Amino acid sequence: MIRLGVAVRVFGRGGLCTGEERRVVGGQHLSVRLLQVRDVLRYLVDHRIACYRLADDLLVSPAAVAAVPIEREFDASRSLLRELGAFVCAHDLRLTVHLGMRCLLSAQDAGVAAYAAAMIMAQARLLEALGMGSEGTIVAHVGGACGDPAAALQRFAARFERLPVGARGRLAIELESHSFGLAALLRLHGMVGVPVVLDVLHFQLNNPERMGLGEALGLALATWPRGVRPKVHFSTQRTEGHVLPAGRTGRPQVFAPRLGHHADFINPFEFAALLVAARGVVPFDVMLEAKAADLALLRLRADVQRFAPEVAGLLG
Amino acid sequence: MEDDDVDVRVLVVIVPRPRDLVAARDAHWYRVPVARAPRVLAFDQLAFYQTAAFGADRWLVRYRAQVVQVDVVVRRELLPDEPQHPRADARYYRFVLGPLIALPVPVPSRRFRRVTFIPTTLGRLLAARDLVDVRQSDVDSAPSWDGVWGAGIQRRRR
Repeated sequence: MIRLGVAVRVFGRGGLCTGEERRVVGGQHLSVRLLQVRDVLRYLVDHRIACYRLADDLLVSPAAVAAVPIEREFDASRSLLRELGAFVCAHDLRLTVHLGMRCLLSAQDAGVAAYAAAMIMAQARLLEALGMGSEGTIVAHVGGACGDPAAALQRFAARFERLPVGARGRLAIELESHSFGLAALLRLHGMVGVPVVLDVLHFQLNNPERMGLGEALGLALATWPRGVRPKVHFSTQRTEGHVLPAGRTGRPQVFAPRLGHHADFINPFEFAALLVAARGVVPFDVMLEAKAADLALLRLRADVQRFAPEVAGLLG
Repeated sequence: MEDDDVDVRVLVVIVPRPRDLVAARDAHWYRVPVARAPRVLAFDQLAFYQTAAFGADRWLVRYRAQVVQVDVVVRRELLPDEPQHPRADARYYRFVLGPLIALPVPVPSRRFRRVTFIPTTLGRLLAARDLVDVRQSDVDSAPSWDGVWGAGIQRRRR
């Protein structure tokens, strides 16, 4: 059974606050942001959506900027965290986090790496407080190549092993579209055991070995420990151009979309190819990375049922 | 954003008895039973609909307050003078509030007396002549960030 998930935003129910549109009026307490998560989770359960990526700024509040320790907010939110955790467990939801691009454990700058480690530990603590077991994954990019990818991998490995067990056990690394592809991440997995998230679009953009999707999927899934459902990311490459209104030239300009830019919805035929490749492998979860978020998920379910009924049964 | 921004999200809630408004004003909290909480509960502010129990000040919204913090407590913790109440162990969301702010013009409810939870915005609340004016459809509350939509999809009005 393959379960689908949405990342941060939801559009299908009005009034839900997620990451980008979160209001800040004099600084929102962590508990207020958690209540927003509660609303989203209820919506997801109503639509049988089992996986959700939390906004990575849930723990970062203006209070932190004002030097009020997040620790105090965390303690004050314990009862709500318990309430949410009970809901998550009762509905078998999977909550994950994706660290921002500046959160690099492999950074040459020790301060940047220390910040990344602190964020990983904080997010691990949040996921634990929300009742997430080992499937509360924290996804990160290796990054930090700066012309010497081997050194970046070494730095990542060394700092990974210095993380507390609880944080280390949640971390997974995602394929990148230009630097660290599957082969590099499999080497890193061999060094320290960190599981690999196959991002299918990034794989298509960064596959110098010309590996097939089925083989890549199998290799990535095999990096995950027994008892933890692997995680895969799926998106469709945007093909719509960007239009700049007419300026001094008097003519509007059209720019091709950047490679790796996500489309609004998911191409069902591409997704069906993933489902075909997934036949016979262990169950895993797919985080859909589409701008239309939950609308794209609901549409994809219907599209797969319609255009690929032979594999629709694999979807949860 | 300032706390008087018209897009500030407000939930109109019911205060069944004057003591509930006293709790909001003096102890800075308001409670919602966990078991009967609406599907969308996270709002920037609460606005308080006063029932018939308020006598001459009934059937209107006069005050609003900023939501500062939320936690989950049992009833006996909120109302320690009622430890034997049948629902003493019931769980409630406790909204910790900022100071009550009086609306420039109270919003009456001339038609509907039974009010539960009404999501709205501060702009709608301040412009309302009757409580029926504050209701907003899902379309109005849907996000409309142009930058989100890769193909420039515009929000449709029903």
